[in-house]
Amino acid sequence: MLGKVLKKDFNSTWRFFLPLMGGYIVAAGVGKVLFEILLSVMDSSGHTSKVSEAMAVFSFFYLMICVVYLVACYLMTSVFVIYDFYKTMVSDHGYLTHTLPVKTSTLIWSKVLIAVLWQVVVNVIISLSVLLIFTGHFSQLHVRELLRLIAVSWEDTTTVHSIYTIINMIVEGFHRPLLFFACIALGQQWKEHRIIGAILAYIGISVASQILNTIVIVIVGFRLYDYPLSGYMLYSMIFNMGTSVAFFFITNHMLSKNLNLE
Amino acid sequence: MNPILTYSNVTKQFGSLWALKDVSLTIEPGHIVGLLGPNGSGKTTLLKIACGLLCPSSGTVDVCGGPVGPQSKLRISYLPDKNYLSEWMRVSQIIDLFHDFYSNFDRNKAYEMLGRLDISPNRKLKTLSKGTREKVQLILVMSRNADLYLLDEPIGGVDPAARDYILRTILTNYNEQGSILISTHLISDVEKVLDQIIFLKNGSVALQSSVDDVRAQYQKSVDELFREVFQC
Repeated sequence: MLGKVLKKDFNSTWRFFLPLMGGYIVAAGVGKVLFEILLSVMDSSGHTSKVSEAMAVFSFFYLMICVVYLVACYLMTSVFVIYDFYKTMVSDHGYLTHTLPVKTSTLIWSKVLIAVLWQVVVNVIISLSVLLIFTGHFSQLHVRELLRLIAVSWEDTTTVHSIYTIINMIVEGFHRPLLFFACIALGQQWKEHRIIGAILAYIGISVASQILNTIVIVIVGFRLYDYPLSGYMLYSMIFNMGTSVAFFFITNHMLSKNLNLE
Repeated sequence: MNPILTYSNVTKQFGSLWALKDVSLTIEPGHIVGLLGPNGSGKTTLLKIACGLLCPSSGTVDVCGGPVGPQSKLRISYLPDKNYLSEWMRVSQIIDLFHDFYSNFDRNKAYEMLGRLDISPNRKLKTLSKGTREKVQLILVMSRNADLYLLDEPIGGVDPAARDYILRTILTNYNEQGSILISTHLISDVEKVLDQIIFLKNGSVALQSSVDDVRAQYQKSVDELFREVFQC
């Protein structure tokens, strides 16, 4: 059944992400051309026309807009994942979702996996677009040296640092949507003002997470700055995994035992 | 014969409001039952609890001998009183979706009914009028070979001609081994198709009886008895 629910959820989400990402790819392609123009103007030290200077200014502002678009893509991904969950699970469309012969846990798994899928797609496309823009100029950027310096400053090797970063990104990919789903599932208990209920649940969960985080650090005697970056990342990964499992169970419990589609 | 639907001491409370108070009733197979009551009497709440869209505050609901869950949802075909389909979808995509999830969905029957109404399967829902969208929902629900059809106000808010079409569609397409529970307050329109009635008053069952018994015992039509029981 999970396959069928995934198909349904994919069909209802790709229509949003395809234009978002398509627009970004086009914008990044144009950005690459303008970036090269900007660099050529900067390299031609003093021998530039007014037209090429204007072009360079335009290129600079265009690239700034690309950066804003990039940030917007990240934000819109989260916003759409939240909107889709709200719309299909606790509003009118929930009448269809919750009358399908499917376990609530399967519905939640599908939503989480689709959310992770789109986060991965967005991250990969954005990373590739950044690579595209800087292609041919990596030697000037000293990327390898930069990564090594970051890792060394946290007393790690580049490889360890990279592995922990990737694992943490994957865990975060599950953690973030599950947090939002739990908030919406708690918020739907309100008869009216369900969105306000979800926001209050978010504030409550965030405060509770911080308190729990502090308690755990105090109990295990964890001294953040005594450990290399990988130590902190490992702790953060375990904490996020634990809270993600808790969020899944909260969502499942609220939507199977306390569903309230008034 | 085992009941298709059983409510045992079901209570539903929304804050300080009691939507259902200790409701116990059973629906046997092979009946068309009218769930009758004025607005706010708890009809929709009663149906939603059987579908798993609301959880009772206390009491239990059994569908074909089992609790409300994925199995019961396969056996119940539910028509809500609101539009629950995504507007971006084409009619054919919705039919595919129902075919994917419900093993008892008859795709050919759905296309046949659409054809009779001249609704193109390629149309997107957002391009259809409200009335046509409601008909599409009815077609989806009645194309299932379900054990129990729960129809929430299927004739509410439509013109008399459309009411006739809806009732005809229900009667000619339901699984006769199963039962239909129709919630409405338009008694005179549905009375002729009902064989049992349940009067719901302020969240409690005021009467459950066969239509023949009502006529024999009270010497009145269901509509007349309804007006008497629910007199303002």
